[in-house]
Amino acid sequence: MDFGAVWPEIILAGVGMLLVLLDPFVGAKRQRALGYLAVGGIVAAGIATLFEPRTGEVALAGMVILDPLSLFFRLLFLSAALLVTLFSFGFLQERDQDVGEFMALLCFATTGAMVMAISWDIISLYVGLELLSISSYILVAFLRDERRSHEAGLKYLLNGALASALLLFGLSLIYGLTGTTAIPVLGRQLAAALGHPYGGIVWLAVGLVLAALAFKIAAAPFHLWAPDAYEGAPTPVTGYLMVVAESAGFAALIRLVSTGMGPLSTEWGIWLAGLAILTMTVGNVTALWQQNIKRMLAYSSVAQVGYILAGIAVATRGGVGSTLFYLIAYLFSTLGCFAVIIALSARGHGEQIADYAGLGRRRPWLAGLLTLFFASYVGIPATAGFMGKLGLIGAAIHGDMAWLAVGIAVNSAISIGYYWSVARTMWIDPVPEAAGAIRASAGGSISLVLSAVGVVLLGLVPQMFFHLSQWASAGVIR
Amino acid sequence: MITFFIVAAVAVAAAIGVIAARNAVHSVLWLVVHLCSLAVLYMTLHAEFLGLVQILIYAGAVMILFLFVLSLLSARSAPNAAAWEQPRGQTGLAIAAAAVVAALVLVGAAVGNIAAPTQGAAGGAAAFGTVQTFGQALFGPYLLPFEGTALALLTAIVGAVALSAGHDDAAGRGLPATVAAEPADGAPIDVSHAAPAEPVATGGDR
Amino acid sequence: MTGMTFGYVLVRSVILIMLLMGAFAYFMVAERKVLGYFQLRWGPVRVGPWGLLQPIADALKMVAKEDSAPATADNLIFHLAPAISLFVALGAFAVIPLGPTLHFGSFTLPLSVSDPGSGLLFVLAIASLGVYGVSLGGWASQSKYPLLGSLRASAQMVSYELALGMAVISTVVLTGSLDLYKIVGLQVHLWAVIPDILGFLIFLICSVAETNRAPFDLAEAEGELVAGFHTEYSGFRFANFVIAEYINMFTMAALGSLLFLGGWNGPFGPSFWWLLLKMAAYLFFFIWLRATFPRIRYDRLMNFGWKVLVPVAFLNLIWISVFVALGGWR
Repeated sequence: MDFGAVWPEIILAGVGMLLVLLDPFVGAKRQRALGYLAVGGIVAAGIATLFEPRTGEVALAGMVILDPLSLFFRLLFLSAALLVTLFSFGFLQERDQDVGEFMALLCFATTGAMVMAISWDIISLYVGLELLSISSYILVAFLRDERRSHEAGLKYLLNGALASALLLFGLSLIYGLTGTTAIPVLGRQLAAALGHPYGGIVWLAVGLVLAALAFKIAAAPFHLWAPDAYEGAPTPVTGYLMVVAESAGFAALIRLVSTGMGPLSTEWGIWLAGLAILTMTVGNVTALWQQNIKRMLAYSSVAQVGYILAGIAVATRGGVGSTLFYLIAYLFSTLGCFAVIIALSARGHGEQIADYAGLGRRRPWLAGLLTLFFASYVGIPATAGFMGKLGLIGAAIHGDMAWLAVGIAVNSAISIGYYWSVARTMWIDPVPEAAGAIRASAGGSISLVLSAVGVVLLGLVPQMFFHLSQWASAGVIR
Repeated sequence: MITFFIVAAVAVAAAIGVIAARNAVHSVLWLVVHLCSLAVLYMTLHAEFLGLVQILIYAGAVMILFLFVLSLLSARSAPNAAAWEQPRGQTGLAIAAAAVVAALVLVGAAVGNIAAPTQGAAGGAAAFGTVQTFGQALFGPYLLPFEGTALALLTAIVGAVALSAGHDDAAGRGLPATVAAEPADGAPIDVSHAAPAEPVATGGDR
Repeated sequence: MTGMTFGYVLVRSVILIMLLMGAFAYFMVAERKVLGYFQLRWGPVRVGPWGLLQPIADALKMVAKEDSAPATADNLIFHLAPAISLFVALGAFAVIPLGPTLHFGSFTLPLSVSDPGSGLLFVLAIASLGVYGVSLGGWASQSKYPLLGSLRASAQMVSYELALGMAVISTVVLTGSLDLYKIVGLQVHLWAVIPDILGFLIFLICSVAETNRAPFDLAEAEGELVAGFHTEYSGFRFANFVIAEYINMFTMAALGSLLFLGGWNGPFGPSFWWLLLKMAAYLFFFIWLRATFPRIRYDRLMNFGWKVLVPVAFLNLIWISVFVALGGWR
């Protein structure tokens, strides 16, 4: 057995188990040490990732593949986990929460996401998805003393379980049709099955898989759980889910649909394109009415998912490449936003948009950075989001889906509405009278600075990241 | 083949029973019947180990816990009519959808090579489904999914502990009102129902 | 089922059931006698010589009693539960061999109803369904003592099943087989209890808890729960529960003897009797426990199960694995 193929996952899961084991023996005062251990584990897994082969070798009896895409997603998930870990410290300690268990669950969830991304077989993909999902359900409900968190966890669990069931049903139909669970051979067999009188099952199976993954990435009309779950979850978890869980969903889409069902791309391409347009429109329009900043960001993330889906819908190498690039941009913008929100909520600062009044004068740096991340979401030039959207629009035009490009452009214009309303509240509205001091924790500041640097780098010198994402998408469309 | 049709019919009927039963405990029992008939189906397919483990794990452990929780929460057998949302057309829709899927699968089974696995049934007919081949498959090609599942279960246990245990200081304070003050409906059985138990007089010293 | 017709199996099943019922009847008398002597009294002496006809009298009484059910009971399940209990108890015994396969010329007679190859797993699988009888019986009665009793019973049985399973697995690791014939065959020279003494002790304790016997008979603790899960049962349905409990004891005694005490291997004489002797000793131990120990408190029972037995069973499994890795008994 070549365990070498999954060293990063082994390290991360091992650190998670170590955290669970140590947690009861570490006093409340020393819980911070467990956080450092988690950071160490994530960094170690990242280093191990760099030593993994990336030439497309298949390992562990065909269960995993080590290609550039695996490397890309592993690094993406680990970076996100690192940033989230950094800004969770302060958040958890203020609320008297158990750091060890939280970090352990975070490690397990990230392991699951990584297994999903390197899967070369339906079974390992599904197992990775379940590992990620189960950890996420618990993380969402983690705030024991908050009713909102429990409610969010339950909603996420019920919807997630339904999605898992749909996925499993679809996958079992696929196995019945093709007799194989290996992703590289699926597509041909499915295309062959299409010619038979029972070809309808193929569409049923593909539809079930797409619907289930749409649930997982919160694409409309399967997004209804997202605002509630994202609003009620502990704020660091919201950021983690938006980035890691959704990116993992996209990894699964790329593996299972772009690669696995490649021969059927003309059909699912249209379906996904329709889904993309619907998702971005619904997300953007609903976000206009939101009063709570986490809820607004939840709808904004639905809209972002719509943009990202467009890259997959066109089913070209360029499309997947732009998707990957946009995922990096999305990571930095989202986690940056959440670093700011957590820094603000540290001293009881509210989560309502109205609470942000006058922030520009009280904390110009925080307000400025939040504005920067919003600008990246909208796609203002010189930010990461601009380059990302440029890539997606280009891919849509090249893939003969110009209407998709128009959709992205129009939706970006709509989205200015709600981002602007927050910015106006921060910079123009007067400071409320009973405003306390705001101080960001050290970890939070680090992740804030890292995110800001990421957003600016991606906006100003995107070449390196373009090459990375194009390289990573090389073997996807076969 | 006859065994298959009888057991399959039982399995389907039990599955319908699960969703049709108005009483949660009855649903659980139907599910037990369903799981046991699946176990029999596995055995007729010579997957002996899988069949036995199916009974041991699902019927013997998982469903018992379901039953345990249900009899703890809803001790009374009378279904609470108010708690049931009347289905509005979903039933018909579900039946139609199930019929379409079943028809397609039947067509596939009758016309095509739908059930011709190209991998999986390795190891030859004689050893198939025995503990040895099962173990070798589990710890050989399927090691990664196996360990991943183990990790998922560990996560679930950690989560159950994290969400429910400890935090004595939080008891009652932060719990949702509905849980903290369970309405009379959820309380274990009225005292009025507990008829004076007949003294059981048998065998003298039992 | 090579060479066995349906009828053949049916006949042997009926014979086995007859045997088990007879054994139950007279074990009951024996238990009461032994308990009597433990407590310096006579036990049953009135019916027949030395009270030997007592079971017949008991059976007549049971059948003649009124079959009552509470008005609020869930009728179907209330009537189903005792049947499930008995059915499962009898089913589990079906694959237990009472001795080596007998040969009469060309005719072979295996001393179990069926031999599915992984018989041990079959016993565990079927026995794990035994909880349903208890927990459904208590729930369907719809009154509070049975419900409490059945909740206790299900929690207790599920908890101790884990340690029991771990103890059984230690023998499986030791012998490398799930086939009860092979497991016994490998113990010709050395009983499994010698390296696996810890496993045997765990099995012994868990088998008492699994059969809801004193001092682990929390499910029917008469001091606090009237009669626990079978409070509302009377007549023949009540008898069903009792019979099932005793047959489960036989199953446990047989399993313990087969897995740890060398089964039918003995120094001399016909093998069949050795197994019966070991089972008898095992069952005597059950009675001895009941006569000696007071009932354990419920929270201590659960603590003991989860915090002592399960970890020890895991450690034992590790030790046995090391033992096998170092060469085992070959």
